[in-house]
Amino acid sequence: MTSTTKRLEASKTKKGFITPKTAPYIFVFPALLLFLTFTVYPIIASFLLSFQTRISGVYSFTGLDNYIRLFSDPVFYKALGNTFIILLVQVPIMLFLAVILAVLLQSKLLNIRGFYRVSFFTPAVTSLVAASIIFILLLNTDYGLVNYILTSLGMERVPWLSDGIWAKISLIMVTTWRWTGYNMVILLAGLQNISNDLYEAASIDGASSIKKFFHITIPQLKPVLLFCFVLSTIGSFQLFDEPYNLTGGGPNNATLTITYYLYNQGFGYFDFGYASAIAYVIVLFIAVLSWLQFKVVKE
Amino acid sequence: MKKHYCTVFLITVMVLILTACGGTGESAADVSIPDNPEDVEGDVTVWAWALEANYLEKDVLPAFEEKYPNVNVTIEHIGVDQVYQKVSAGLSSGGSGLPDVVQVENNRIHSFTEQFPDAFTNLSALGYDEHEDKFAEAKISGLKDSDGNIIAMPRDLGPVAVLYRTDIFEEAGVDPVSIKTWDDYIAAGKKVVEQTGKYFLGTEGDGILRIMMQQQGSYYFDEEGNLDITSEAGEKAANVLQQMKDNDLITYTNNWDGQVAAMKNGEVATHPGAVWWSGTMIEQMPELAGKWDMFKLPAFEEGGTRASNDGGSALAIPSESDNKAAAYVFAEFATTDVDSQIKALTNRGLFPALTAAYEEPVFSEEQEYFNNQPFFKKFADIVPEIPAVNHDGAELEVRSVMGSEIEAFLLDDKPAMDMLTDGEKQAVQQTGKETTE
Repeated sequence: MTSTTKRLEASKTKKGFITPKTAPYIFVFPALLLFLTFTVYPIIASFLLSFQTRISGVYSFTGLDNYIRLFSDPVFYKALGNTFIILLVQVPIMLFLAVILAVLLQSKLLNIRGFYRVSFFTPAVTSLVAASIIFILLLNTDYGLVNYILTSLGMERVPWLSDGIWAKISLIMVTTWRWTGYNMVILLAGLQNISNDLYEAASIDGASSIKKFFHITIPQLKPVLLFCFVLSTIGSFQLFDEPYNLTGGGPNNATLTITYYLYNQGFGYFDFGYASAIAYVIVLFIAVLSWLQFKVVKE
Repeated sequence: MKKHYCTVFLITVMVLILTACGGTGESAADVSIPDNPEDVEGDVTVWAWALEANYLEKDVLPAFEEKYPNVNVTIEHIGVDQVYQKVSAGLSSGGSGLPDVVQVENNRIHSFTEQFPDAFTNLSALGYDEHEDKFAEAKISGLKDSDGNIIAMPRDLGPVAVLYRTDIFEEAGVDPVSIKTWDDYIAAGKKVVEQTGKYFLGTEGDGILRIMMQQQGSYYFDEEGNLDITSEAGEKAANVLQQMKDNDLITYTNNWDGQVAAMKNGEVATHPGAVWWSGTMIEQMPELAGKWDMFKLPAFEEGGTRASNDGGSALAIPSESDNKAAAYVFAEFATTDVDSQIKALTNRGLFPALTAAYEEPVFSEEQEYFNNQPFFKKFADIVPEIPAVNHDGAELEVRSVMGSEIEAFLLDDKPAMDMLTDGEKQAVQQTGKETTE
């Protein structure tokens, strides 16, 4: 930089606050302010809150009390266990279905593919409150459609929502119904990125469709699948609407998820300190699991 | 370095914005209620839900506006969960955005006042003490703060009795008059189950346990707010529940809808429940008109208390209200005007806590739906007997714990006594409270 330009710049700054140097900051400022107020501040505040307990209206620091309480809380473990069961059962089933659907919908043999794509994706954008009402009606033990069909076929009624195990199964079904299409769309995008040359080359070598699926489609989809896995893991840890609307976390906490427990503590009992501690443990779990998934896929 | 200045600046701005939120209301000491109704003026916003909101809007408001022409009241119908969430959010942020009058259930009052000691206006300071004697003791004692000041005005009450199906009892040859103790109740239940193949009662939560404990003047908490679940009263209740289960008298009904369905489908012959069930029954099972009646709650021993309470709400004035005089006269009118209380009962099935209302002829009228009996009078007779118990601030947490325990007891065959000990252990863990002893 020459001395003249320096002087020029100096004279410009004197003229006003807005200079080429400050302009970017000024433009970014409103967005930054919003980001700081509504994202950074809550993150920091809830972290600090997780070390506090409200005693007769006043928050005071109580060190690790909330975390110690958390680790000796049987309901927390139950909620965590439920979350893991749902994660381990539901995510593989859902992603398996999503891959199958995506491959089928990619196939040129299928007519009106757009219609199917929309149909499978619709649940992901449906209001779950409305959908839950439908599912509650469908799964009602006494007058639900599902049990009606089962009894018509000579089978026993299933206590879909009032038995611990069946309630979990119902929850897994509804979650799968809701999110399969969402993952399918992501996988479809991934499929479209796989070069056709690979399939052509394989055809020339005489590979069957199944061979092509396992040796081309799946390996090529790996990064997208990983993305879906990570998203679904996070989703499972944040599972809330479904148990809230369908089962209320019951019976006997069988469908209580960890986020639901957080909600109960915070907004049910106003124990925001404890709820914040739960939130940070969730963050930790998601971070560790995501890291593990990346690790596994890399090797 | 410049970057740091920028950060410091931004944080300062943020702190300023955040601390600028929150306001101040008038303190109770500055408020005086004019003697002439026409001198009271102002806008009053009310948050209430369901039946109570309808009551305030349709039954109270027209009469109130006639008496206080210069008060403009807006009733906002908000769901019960939303009311609590909005109130707690409002109180957390220093009282901004709160209404002038809010409906709060008895069992929720203390969870607010424990977290936010100055949440609600001291109504004793505004003169509500003059009405104290007009209400059921069990109700108003739960609406005072630790200094004995009234902080919410009593509205409805839920005296409990056993609702039963007259036709099923007849079929089984059971005389409800003979049921005086829980032992009698179980004996009658065995007969009904044997003769009709129905269950004797259904439950969907810990309501039955609370009813039985309160009946004995005991509750999940003692007077100091310590956990007292494994008390003698708790054990007696658990013992009765265990016998009910061992004899297959009790069924798990899953949730509110399940409970209603069990009653409607004739799956259960009795329902130990509060008077407000009458509204649901008339509305949702009209075909059962004339087939329901009630008898007093069975006692634990001959001559023991046969009354308990479940539910009921109150009206409170948040401390941040800027229009306390108008809010006060509205809530006072809604809680002490006898004609309005009668309308609450006849139009909405809300049972008033104002005992003067029980003297009105309509209370003694025979109800066609309930076997042509003076149904409400029978409940009113129970009210003076209801033991007052301590609804502590941790009530909801403990109820949720015990609700799960009841489910474990009914679904997983957990012994009823273990339900109490495990529940208490978990409640200690959840609430950080001490136990009695």
